[in-house]
Amino acid sequence: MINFIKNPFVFIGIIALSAALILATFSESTKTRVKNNKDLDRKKNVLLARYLADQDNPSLAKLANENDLQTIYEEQIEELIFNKDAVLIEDLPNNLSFSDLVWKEDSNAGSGKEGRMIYSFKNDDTEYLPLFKVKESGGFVIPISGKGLWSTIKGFIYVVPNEDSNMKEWDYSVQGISFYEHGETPGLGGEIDKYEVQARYLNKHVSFKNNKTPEMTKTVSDDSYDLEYISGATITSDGLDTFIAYHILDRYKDILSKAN
Amino acid sequence: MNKIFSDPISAENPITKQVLGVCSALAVTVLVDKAIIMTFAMTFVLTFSNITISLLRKVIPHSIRIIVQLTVIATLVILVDLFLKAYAFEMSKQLSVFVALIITNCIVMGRADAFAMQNNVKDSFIDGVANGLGYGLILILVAIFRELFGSGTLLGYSIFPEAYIGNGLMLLAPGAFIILGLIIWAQRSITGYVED
Repeated sequence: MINFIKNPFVFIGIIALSAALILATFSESTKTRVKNNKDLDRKKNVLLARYLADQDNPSLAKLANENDLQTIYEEQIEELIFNKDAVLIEDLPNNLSFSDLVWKEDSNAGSGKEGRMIYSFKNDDTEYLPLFKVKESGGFVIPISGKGLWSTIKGFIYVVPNEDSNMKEWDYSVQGISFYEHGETPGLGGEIDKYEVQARYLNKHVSFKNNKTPEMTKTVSDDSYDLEYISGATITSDGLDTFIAYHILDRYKDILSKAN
Repeated sequence: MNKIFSDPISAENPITKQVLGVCSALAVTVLVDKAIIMTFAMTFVLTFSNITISLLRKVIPHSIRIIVQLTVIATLVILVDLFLKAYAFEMSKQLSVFVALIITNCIVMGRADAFAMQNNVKDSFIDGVANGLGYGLILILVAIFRELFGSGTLLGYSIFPEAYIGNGLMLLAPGAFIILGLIIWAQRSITGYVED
């Protein structure tokens, strides 16, 4: 018997099988917890973007608590999903829910645009456009994602429609931004996590007519759109400019201009 | 037994004496809290891989011992990764890739092959814990310097006055290299150890 086990093939077979068994059991038992964590993290970051311009809001301090976070989220946010043609979807296919949506690299992006990100379900490449409507302001929190220097950055940007009908130079004004996943250099590109950098986006404009979104530059010439770039992180800054413009001016343009 | 425990923490430290595991010592030492979690992860993996390998040491066919060790280590690392994702989500977001890279950390396999394969379970357990702590000690030491001078904080609390501008070099890998070099120099000038 012991000789049989000592056969290299038999032995590695036993080891591999037991390892697989242990991992599968553990992964299965933590699955709902992990999904729940991701979902909470997403909700938290939607709210962080929503409250960026409003740092004194008492709700902000409550976000650390799971139950409070859920309550505030439900009070503040309405989840909407549109298809690629900007039509609101009432029923999602096959009992899928909002939280099953994942970021994927766009396989149809073409050369020079590798790393362009779209939202879809895990086993299905149909593109969907999820949107978070902020009930109080009528503004929207838009999911954004794209390449920085080392990593794919994921986050949200909060835009509020321009109510002043005499001043139609711009359509939306940015009122918040947050990032929940990235691997940029701590202290350089990683500064996008900090309030000081995120606050630079506040009150910058989005204009569909002029095809303009907030842009990081070394010299701020147009205060409505330009903001200071992150020193030592040119590629991260350029990446942010590119994918914020792509998501707002390309993917979400129809939905946003219809809503305003 | 005492020597098995005290050696890796002091004179025979895996990072400063054997210069193993330097990759993660450079990568996860920007902030002290990350270094502490990394120490726990590493100690867990080292201890249990040592125990498992020591238990199996008499039946593992010699020709495939490295493969067996790797399988055991990889399993443990994935367990740690899953555990962090489920119970310390924020931390796992910041550490995830480095936790996964424990698989390739030479210290773990070095201890499994050089120690656990020849020693009983009790000694292997002590050796695992001690090497994990020895590794963590250096990690945390480097992280203290880097967080203090790089961001002016310790464990997120401000230490230096508001006006302090963080030293950017400390936040990058070269800063860790310099500090690690200084620590190794300090330790070797005390122990008098010279490389052959």
